[in-house]
Amino acid sequence: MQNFKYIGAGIAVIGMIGTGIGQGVTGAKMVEAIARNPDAVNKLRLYFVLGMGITETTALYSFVISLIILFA
Amino acid sequence: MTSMKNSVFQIWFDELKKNNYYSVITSIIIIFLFLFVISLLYFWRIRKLDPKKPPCGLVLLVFLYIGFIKNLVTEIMGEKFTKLTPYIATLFAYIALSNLISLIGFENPTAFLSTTVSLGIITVFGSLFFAIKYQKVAFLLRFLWKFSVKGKKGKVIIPFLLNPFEIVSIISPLMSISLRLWANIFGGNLIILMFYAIPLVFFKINPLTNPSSSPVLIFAVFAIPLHAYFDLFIGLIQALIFSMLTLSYWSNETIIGAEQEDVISEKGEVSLFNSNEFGV
Repeated sequence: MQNFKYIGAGIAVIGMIGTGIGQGVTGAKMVEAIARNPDAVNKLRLYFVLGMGITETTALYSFVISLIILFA
Repeated sequence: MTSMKNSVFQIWFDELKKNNYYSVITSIIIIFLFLFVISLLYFWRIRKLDPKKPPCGLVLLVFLYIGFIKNLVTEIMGEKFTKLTPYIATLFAYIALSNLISLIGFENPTAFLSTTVSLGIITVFGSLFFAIKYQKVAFLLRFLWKFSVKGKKGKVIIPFLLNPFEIVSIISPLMSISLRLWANIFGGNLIILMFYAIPLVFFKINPLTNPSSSPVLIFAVFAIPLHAYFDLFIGLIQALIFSMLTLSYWSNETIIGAEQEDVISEKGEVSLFNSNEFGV
């Protein structure tokens, strides 16, 4: 019965799909924005990195949850 | 299960449970001493600063840092709130230093939920303060579900229930802002620990109990990019994200308040239950 927790940890990591899609959209929009207005790169970079950082959070939630299922 | 009992993660989790807060308190004291010494040195040097010469060294660095934070505050909250710069500068410095302190071998204070939740509580209480200061009674009216009835003098708004979504929306920033910082640092620590666990798998050497053996030291060289990403990059970015999100939560409340003031000044006078402009 204890071994079912490995399946649970695997299921918890499915949430990372959303982060993959989100970061892809962020990167694509960044490239689009640079193509439209190449002068704005310096202003865009901060918001790009911020968006990446915020999007990444969901993946880390699922990672931490799966580790908590496994070890805690 | 027997192999799991001896794994590095299990040992690490047990260590975390055992000596809960002593290691974190040490690093918090070190961070505060560092900040205290820096601010004393800055205070001491800026009084002896020659106004004819350009600033250099520590004074220049602190000038650049304060200018950066001031730009951030004025960009998000407007010129009126430049006085918030000291708090945001302290917050950013504290979070950045507590993310970076693991590079010199101390525990990250931000890898513990109690640190990040207490920082998040400050943010939530700050947003409550700004909401009450700039929206006044309209802020309390947001917590009611109301429906409007057409009367003789226009629409009459009748409140009939507490709005649970608004109550949740007060607490949810606390969850998201503190869990984001904690999960980033904790997850980064775990990924780096996984890398350091490779010697345990191949050479049966535990890096936690035997840190100076040669395979562990060799792996430490290869872990430099991981440290550069998870400690330096993520640490600084998360400090920036935390301070920017704090500012944007606060500016949301003040912007709603400013919109309501515009509505009031356009209409001339507004009585409490006789307008549909308050809240949603």
